[in-house]
Amino acid sequence: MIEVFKQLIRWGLLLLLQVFLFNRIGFFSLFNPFIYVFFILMLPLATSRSLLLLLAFITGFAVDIFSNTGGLHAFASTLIAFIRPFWVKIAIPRSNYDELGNIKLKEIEFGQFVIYTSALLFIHHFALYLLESLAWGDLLWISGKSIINTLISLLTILAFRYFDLTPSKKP
Amino acid sequence: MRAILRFLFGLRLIFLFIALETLAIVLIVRQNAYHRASFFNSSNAFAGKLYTQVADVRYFLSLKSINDSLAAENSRLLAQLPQNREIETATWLINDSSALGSPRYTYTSAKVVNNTIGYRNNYITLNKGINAGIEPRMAVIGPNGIVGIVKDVSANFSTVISVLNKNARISAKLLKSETTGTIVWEGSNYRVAKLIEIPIHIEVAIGDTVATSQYSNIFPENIFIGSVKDIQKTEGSSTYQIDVLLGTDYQRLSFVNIVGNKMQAERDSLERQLSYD
Repeated sequence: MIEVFKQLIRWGLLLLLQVFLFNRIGFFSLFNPFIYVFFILMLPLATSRSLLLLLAFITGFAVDIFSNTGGLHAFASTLIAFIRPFWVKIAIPRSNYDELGNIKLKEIEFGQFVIYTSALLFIHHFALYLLESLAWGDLLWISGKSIINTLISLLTILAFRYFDLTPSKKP
Repeated sequence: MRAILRFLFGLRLIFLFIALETLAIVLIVRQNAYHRASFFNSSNAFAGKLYTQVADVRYFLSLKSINDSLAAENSRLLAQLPQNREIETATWLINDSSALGSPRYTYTSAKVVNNTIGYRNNYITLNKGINAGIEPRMAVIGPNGIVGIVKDVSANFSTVISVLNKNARISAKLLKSETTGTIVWEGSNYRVAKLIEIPIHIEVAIGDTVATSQYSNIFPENIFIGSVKDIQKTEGSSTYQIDVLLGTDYQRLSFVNIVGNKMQAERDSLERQLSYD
């Protein structure tokens, strides 16, 4: 129950930050990082795959409503939620899972955390920009934009990790 | 039979995944149509109110620059009043007589409550909707030039297709030579749009004014769009690629006017009878 509450708070905070702060940066229409993906990345590993897909869809769709993007975020979020279980097996060794199946922010090695996060972030950003543009001629621009914004999202998420924005397990 | 069912059950994740992605694509396609009211975008009451709250704080912090730009717009408009023009008075009166009675365009001022510039397709949310007489396909103009076209309206809010959007193709002209082309945005810089379809035999210079053309059924004629920033000529092409520095700074947009055209429906229905094929 506490876990659900914790996730809800994280969901709300990330959504507010995304919509009111990060959606508005837009330096030369280049910066458009999606930090809310952190929520999908940090859902407990014990989450069933179908629940993961549904939660990712709802999260993406909530961002879509505020950004007038139709279903772009829903699409990209569902995509990485589908990939996540496969990628976790490759990127994070079993010893780091706790009893709830939480990905323990502080216990994962820094390098592993970066690899796990950045790959999924890149797929999310790239899929979104590509679907949004739907022009293969823009591929170079889209790739560049994806790399830059993956880096920005990653740095922000690392900051979340450092400050441990999410409530800790203590009551 | 049971084996088949078990097999299908094993695939349920794939089915769910495909179903959700299909739904997402349907939602993306739907976003490209004009709606009178739609819940699934920022013109809905909840998102609109939330945006208004945050926008109020931003207004307070940027009141000085908002005042400056509104004052500048005021003086520009004052200069256009007939009593401030010496020579053209007679012509002006004749032009005006055709529109005697009620004016063709209606203006409603509105506040920008949300605005993005980082997407390929950007939208703006305004705090006026059906209750203020706003309808889809009205023009939106800011103190420094055109802003966009109204897309969806709800009771108290409306969403606007910004010029910074793939779906915004605005008929424009070079004021000096009266040559018309189209303004499109290519997605890399929110200050610069492209003016296309200008033939290379036309003389263009850096700094020339680009304004809305008489062909538009949405925008009034001669509304400022921007000024020519760069001119490129591609080998073998019969038209220029002109970079236009947009007058509107989308990052600082706060007050706009929504312009209704009383003759829009009439012209639309007339032109719909033509087929272009």
